[in-house]
Formats: sequence, C-alpha cells, structure tokens
Amino acid sequence: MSQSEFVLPGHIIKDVKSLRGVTILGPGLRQNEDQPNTLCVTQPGKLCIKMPNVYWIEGNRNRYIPQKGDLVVGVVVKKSGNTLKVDIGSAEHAALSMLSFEGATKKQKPDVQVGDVVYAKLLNAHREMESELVCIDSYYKAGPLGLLSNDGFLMNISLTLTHKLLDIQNPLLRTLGKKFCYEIVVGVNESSLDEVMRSSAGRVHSTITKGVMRPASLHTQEPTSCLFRLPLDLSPSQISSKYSSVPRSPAGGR
Amino acid sequence: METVTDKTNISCKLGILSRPDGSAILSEGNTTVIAGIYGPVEVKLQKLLIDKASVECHYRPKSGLPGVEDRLYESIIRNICETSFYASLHPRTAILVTIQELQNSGQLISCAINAACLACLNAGIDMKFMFSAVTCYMNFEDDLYLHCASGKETKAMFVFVFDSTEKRIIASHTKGSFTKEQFEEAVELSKEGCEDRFTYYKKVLES
Repeated sequence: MSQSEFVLPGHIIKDVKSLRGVTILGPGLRQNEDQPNTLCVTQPGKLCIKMPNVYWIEGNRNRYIPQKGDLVVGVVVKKSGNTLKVDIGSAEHAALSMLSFEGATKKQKPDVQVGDVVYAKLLNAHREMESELVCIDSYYKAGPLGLLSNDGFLMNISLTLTHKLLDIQNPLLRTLGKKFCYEIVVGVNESSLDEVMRSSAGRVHSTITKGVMRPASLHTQEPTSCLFRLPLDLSPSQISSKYSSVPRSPAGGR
Repeated sequence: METVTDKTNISCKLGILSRPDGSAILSEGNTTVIAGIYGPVEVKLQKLLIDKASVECHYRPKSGLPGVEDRLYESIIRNICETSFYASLHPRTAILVTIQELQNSGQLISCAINAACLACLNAGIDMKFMFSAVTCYMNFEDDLYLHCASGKETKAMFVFVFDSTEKRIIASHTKGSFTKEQFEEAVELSKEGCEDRFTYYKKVLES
C-alpha cells in the first residue's frame, strides 16, 4: 500500500491503473465522467493506493455512512413489535429484527430494552433504503455479536482511533490485557466503542486511573449499570484527561 | 488544531466545535464568523427529497433574530453549497449549514461563504469542487481593490465565488453602480485573490 499526496475535492487523478478493466474505488473518490480513465476526488484527505487497482481517500469524516458487512455498536432507541430501531450514528436508524438473535423464536424473544447496547452486523446498507442489522452470522450463530453487558462504558471515538484499535499489530489492547481482564468491542461506525469490564474486583486499581477507565465503579463499588458516552474524539492519551460522564437514562436500566 | 494565518490577513481554525460534524472559525481582516456543518443527518418529512440530500442554511446575526438581509445570505450560501455538493450520494438526508456572525467589518458574505467551505471540508462532505469567495471594492476614483480600507467611501462592491477546478464563477453578488468594463476588471482581480484562498485552504487542511 502506498500513500501519496494530500488531495482536496475537485482534484483529478490521472493514469488510473486497472486489473482486467476493473478499478476498485473506496470512499472519497468518484469516476470522472468528463474524461475517461480519470478519477475525481470528493473528500479532503490522503490518497491511498493499493496495487494493482484499489484506490481510496483516508480522510476524517465524522458522520458514519453505513456500509454492507460493517460491524457496528448501536444503541436501541425504539421497540415496535418484532423490530428494534438502533441508533448506529448514521442519518437514519437501522432496523434490527428480534428474530435475528441467536436462538430467538417467535415465542421466545430476547430480552432487549430501549437503551441497551448491541453489537451487530450490517446485513443491508443501501442509500435508498433503511439499513438492516443482524446479530447472527450465516450459520445462525451469534459469535461475538448480540446484546452487550450493561456493566460497561460506551465511548465515541474517532475513526482513526478505531482503525488503530482494530489493528492486530497495535500493542495497546494487549498491554492493557496484561494488567487486568477486560472485554472490548469496537464498532466501525466511527464513533462507537464499548468497553465491557468483567468485574475482576481488587485487581483493577490505580494503574487504571491513568488509563482508559474510571476506577470508581471498577473495584469497591458495584458498577450500577453505568454507561458513559463521550461526545469528543479522543486519542488514548486524552481519554483520561477529558473524561466526562453522562449517566444512562433510567429507561435503559434493568 | 493550530490557527493558521495567511499573508492576505485570513486566519482560521478547524474543528473548534464538538457537536457539529465539521466546524471552522474564519476571520478575514476584522470580520469573523463561525460555521458548523451537520450531515448527512435525518431530514424533516416536509423537506425530504427522494433523489438527493436537501441542503439547509441557517444564518445567525451577532444579536437578535435573523432578518430579511440574513435570509438573503442564507439563500446565497445554500445555493452555492447545493452546486458544490454531491447531494445525490445521500438521498433522503439533510446537510445543515449553520453560520454564526461574530464580527462584521465589511466583506461578511465572502467570509461566511469561505467559512462554510472550510467547515464542509472539515466534515468530509462529498464535494465536486471547493469554492471560495472574494470581495472586491471600487471607490469613487474608480480604483478597484480587494481589501476594504476603512473610512473610504465605496462606489460599488462585488462578491464573486469561484470553483476550485476551472476557476469559473459560480455566484456573484453586486452592489452600487459600475460599467461593464469595471465589472470584468473586478472579475480578473478577484480571480487572482481566489487563487490565494485555495492555496490557503490546502495549507489549513494539511496542518
């Protein structure tokens, strides 16, 4: 993968490589209709090229645009009949069927309340239609998907940080794992990160206070279904300094 | 992000607001505005367009409620944004542009347009091209100049908005009386000014 110059909307990319007449375009690029074999940039950012034929722009879009197959973290905002409406940070709420949880039947539905956090996969994402979520894979198994525990934190982080956390080479999560046991769920909807702490009681102490989580709810006191949401884009170093807490609405409590 | 100041007396800071998807504070001389962009977001049913995103602009004056002149600014900025966005990529959504005036010492329209463009770039909205506005003044000796010299009376004022690809005029707004030749002269002068703006945009976004 090669990263070249910083480009701005309106920039024309010439000499586009293709493999058997196919060029794969990522976000921020459009085919230029005026001239053949050129691309038009629509977003500011770094132009990235993966040989032989993949092109995309690495910019800093803040609003999530749903893409088919994305794994996202969302908050249930509405329950109507058999469908749930989930806020995944896009323009429109996504639909999640009650029957698309593992083992769910018409008679035995999962216990989901408004305010709950789910980790789901986008089955369908078309700009003309409402996007659709599922919590099972094609073998009807949940895997990591499904309802997330209430004893955790929900944070909004930037897309760049999401990519860094999901990068297997990144040492941050491994280093944290050496200190205490935790579960983390990172959704690619640009701003949702859910940290689910397993109560490992006294083992979590002051080292954490400088890190990602607030200590108060982690040891002595019982974490009374606290969910924290950060509106700002933060890097790991900033998280501790800027941390502000918003208790979750009582409607979501169990 | 750092405040970037230019030789043409523009200074700007991106991403200063936490709630909008993109924001910019821009001052040209003593005129300062803040622009914020939300988008693509959920749209009201009456403004929903099935084939493209609807663009809305809200202009807030320094004090009081928006008046008739502010509505004019809103429509100018909305029209410019509509032409520059790839609105068809996000049908049934809305893109909201909010402009807050902080200080007006002339050339307010061009300052607001430039701030809107920078906020759009900060938000990562899909755009066909960038745009920049330049205000050109003419005094009673028929001299044209780009920077408003305070205290001097002006005979005419021109605001031109150019696109970044072919430097075509995408909007123009004039006040006062002038001849056809003077208008063309003002276009040429503004075109030079807009080149500086585009290089400035690049500098701001790269930093």
